[in-house]
Amino acid sequence: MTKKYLSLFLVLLAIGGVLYWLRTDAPEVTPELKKAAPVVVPATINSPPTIDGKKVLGAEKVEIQDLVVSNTVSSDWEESLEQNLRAQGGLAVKDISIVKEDSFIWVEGGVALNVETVKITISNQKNQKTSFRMMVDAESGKILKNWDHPIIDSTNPDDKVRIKLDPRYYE
Amino acid sequence: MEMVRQRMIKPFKNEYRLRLLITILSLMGILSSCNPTEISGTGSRANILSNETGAYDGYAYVYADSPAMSTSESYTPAVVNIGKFSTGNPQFVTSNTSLTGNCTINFFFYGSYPVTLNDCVRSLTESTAITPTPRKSDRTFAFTPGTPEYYATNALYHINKVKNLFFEKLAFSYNQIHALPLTTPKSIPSYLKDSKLFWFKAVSNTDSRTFNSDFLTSYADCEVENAYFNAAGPTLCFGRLSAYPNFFFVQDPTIIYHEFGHALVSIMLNLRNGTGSQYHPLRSVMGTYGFDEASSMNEGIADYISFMVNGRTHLGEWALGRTTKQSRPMSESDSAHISGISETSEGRLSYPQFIHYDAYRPNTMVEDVHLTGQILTHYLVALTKTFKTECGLTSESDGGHSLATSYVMLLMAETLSEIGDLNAKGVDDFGVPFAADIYFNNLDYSSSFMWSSVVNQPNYRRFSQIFAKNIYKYITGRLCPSFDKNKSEKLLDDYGLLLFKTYNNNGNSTSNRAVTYTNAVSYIPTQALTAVSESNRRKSVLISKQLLELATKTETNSRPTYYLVDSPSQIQSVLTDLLFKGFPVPLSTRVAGTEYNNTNVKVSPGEIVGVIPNLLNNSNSTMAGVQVLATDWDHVDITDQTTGNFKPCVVDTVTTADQGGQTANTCTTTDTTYRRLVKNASTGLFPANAAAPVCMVQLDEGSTSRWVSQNEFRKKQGLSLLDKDCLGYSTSATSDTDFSFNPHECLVRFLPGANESFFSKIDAQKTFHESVIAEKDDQSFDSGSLLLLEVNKWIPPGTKFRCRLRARFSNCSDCYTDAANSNDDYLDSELNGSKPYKIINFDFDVND
Repeated sequence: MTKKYLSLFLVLLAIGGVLYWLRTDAPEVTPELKKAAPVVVPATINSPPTIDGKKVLGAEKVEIQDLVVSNTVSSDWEESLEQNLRAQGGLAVKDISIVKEDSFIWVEGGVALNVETVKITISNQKNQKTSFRMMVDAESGKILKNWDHPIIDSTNPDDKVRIKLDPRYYE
Repeated sequence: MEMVRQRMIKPFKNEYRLRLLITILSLMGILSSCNPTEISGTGSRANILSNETGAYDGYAYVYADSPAMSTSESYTPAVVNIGKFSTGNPQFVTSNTSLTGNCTINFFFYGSYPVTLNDCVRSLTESTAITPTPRKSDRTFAFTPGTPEYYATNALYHINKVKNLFFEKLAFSYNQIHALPLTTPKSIPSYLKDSKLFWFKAVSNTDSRTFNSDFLTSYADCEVENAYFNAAGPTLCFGRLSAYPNFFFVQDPTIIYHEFGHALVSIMLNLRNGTGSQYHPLRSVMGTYGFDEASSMNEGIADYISFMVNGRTHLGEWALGRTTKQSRPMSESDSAHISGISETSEGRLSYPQFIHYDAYRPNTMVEDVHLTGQILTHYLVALTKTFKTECGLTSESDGGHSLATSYVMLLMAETLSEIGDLNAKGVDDFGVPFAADIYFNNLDYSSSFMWSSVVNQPNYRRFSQIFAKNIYKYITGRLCPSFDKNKSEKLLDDYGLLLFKTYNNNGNSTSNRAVTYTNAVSYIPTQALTAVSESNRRKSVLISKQLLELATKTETNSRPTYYLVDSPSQIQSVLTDLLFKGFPVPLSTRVAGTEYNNTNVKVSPGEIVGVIPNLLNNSNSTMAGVQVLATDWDHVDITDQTTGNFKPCVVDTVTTADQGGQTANTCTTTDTTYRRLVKNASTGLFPANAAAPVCMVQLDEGSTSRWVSQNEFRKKQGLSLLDKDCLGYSTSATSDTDFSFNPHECLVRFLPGANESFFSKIDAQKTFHESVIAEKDDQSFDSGSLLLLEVNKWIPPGTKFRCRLRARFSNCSDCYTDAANSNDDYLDSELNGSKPYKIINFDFDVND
């Protein structure tokens, strides 16, 4: 009888082992943590305030009635922006593409501006391209912020623009 | 017959095992019939797969690793027969009908939430290609080795491999973290499943178009001499080297993992920046255009991603090693290292000693972010190895690699999502950002981009501190208690990275030390500030900021105070380089430009001048990660809101009350928000308290002179300069007024976007020039060391300026912590002021 029970126990143990092995991949959660399961509110947030249908971003609490937007939207901004980019890039610049991605009112440090976010693609004389994003003044095209720049991994660490010191400093 | 039967029956005592064996043998038979044919004589695998049954739908022959892993050193990229390195068996690439991949991640948040983004990766052959290659008529991707389609297939295979692995680890991180009680403050948001910011996904609704495309595009053959990741695409681009016509970067899977690693850094930085219904309009970045520690850590993490995939502690054996001897070790046990480097406490690749370390050129001094990033990679690999042993993971079938790297990626995702938090809330309330107008990260919603990328950009100190905090919270506290605080601190110290005094884990707000998480989310209890055990700090040397100063000429040396660069070609070359690296600057083209540069190494009217402060380390230890800021800060007392004119606060012994300085009024406090000194459009007034431009001008009034705002100077000095003749002024056809114009930088200003400089390290009792530059034949500086100063062409010669720059460095003892508050970190808003910094006064005259 003892042997029979022992066999039965071993079979059950084996079945348990197989079931454990086949269990679904649940995250390891300690019993203490499981108890903490709350009623979770779905992720909903109030939409940003708007002025003339344009969303206002840049400050968590914006008193719309007190807000005076410092600029107006002008069709000139794109041309001014391109001129600035060409001035910076010099003769190396061949083509510039400005793709408008979003328009809104940006509030920062108490100043509210109509802005555009744009994706810029610039090609050089060898037709090699670079691209990045910017926030610009929707009236003047003035550059306010830039992000999403490329991270270029060259095989030669010396293969980059370096600033040579004028020999008068060390000769 | 009987004997035979007995022989057959005896080994198989039960029918099940017999059937199993028969099934296995049958499958082996079927599989062997599907084996590919080889083209004889070439050593290449064919582009033919027998796929009548559809068993190989979406399969291809791929190279599992780079040619360097199965050939001797003599096999170089000069002649490559890539087909020779394809796997013997075809590998699954994608179930899609063209070379695209899907993103699937399974979140567990009180229930299972699988999320799939179809076609989230598109693998293209070359930069001019638009559509992904469709699968062949036999429904496989078995293209002829060496063809563009073959490389695009391989690129996708390896991208899918690293992508899927990352999603496994991100899901692990999310699931572990959100299984913790709500009382634990966490960074990875629960709404990640809704925002889909586990990928480049924020474009589906028209309200926010962060990306034009919600897919990552890979170009297997770009016409560039490098490889890169561009978040603006987002794209991965694998170039070639003209010296080796048959060589392509895509031939080396570790390069694919590395570039994809940059994509992952971008993703992890932005995990908190959207909720599903709203997205911050900007995206966090890590690193700028020149040498800085943020960029180097980005490289180090990208290297670690390769280790995460293949478990190998070396990167780029083929693409970097066999071409230019630039492959990188990731562990001290790697044979590439010089003698003396070992996995002992003393032998670790520690900071700042090995900032410029190149295993193959140990005697050269190169400022390169990849080389500096090796310190972080070595630390992360050492940490992974330690997790395997300390946390009992070695008995796992893979030796614990999978789980140990999951732990590290959990720490990484938590750390980077805090660093890059642009919504600035830091924690959430029942699955949504809390409503209170309180911020815990990066100052506040509108200044967060500037704080996270410039003012408080991640350096080795900031990263290590947040990473250590997360080790303490998640590893020591939950996953592996045996890796305790002491062990964690000692390992960090082995790498010279125990650069902080506390874990800054008490959760106080960015502008008020008394406001904590509890004020925003009531169920998060007060968090205690945890101090580092000072006995664990043996290699990490901290130095007072007072020992950093500008060099001065003495009888014994000829050190200049600063270096000026005003060659028109050099400055134009820097400007062009900045633009092509994605850093445009707003030029004042009507009143300044490189056409005025005269190469007289002086500041002349109209020029754009490169300024490099000659910083001196007056201590007996190496200073590292020195950042100089020329951004606006709260250093003035505004005396007249109609003009915005001000008196400079007395913040050091250089600008005194006799010279017009102020010690009272707003000079006794620091503004808690970042507000520029520009006119309010509704009131017509300047703010009563604001961050002012760094440069003041000397106004002579009879026998006395004082430092005043540039706006006051131009009015009182009788200059007939209108606003439109000032630097930084823009108008349009619509309006003559520019309300973002700051009249207090009318005459000189550091160009926004080029108003921060970085210096890798300064040896004891030396200047940066003596430490790093003097050894170079051409005496050249990295572009990251340069500040660009615009000078108005209308400035009268002889005008004197003083610019109050601010400097701090990574291993600084008093730049980050406030001794008056138990060494708690300075608040983000205090970075508006002088306390965390050493003021660097840059005095100059404008001369023709």
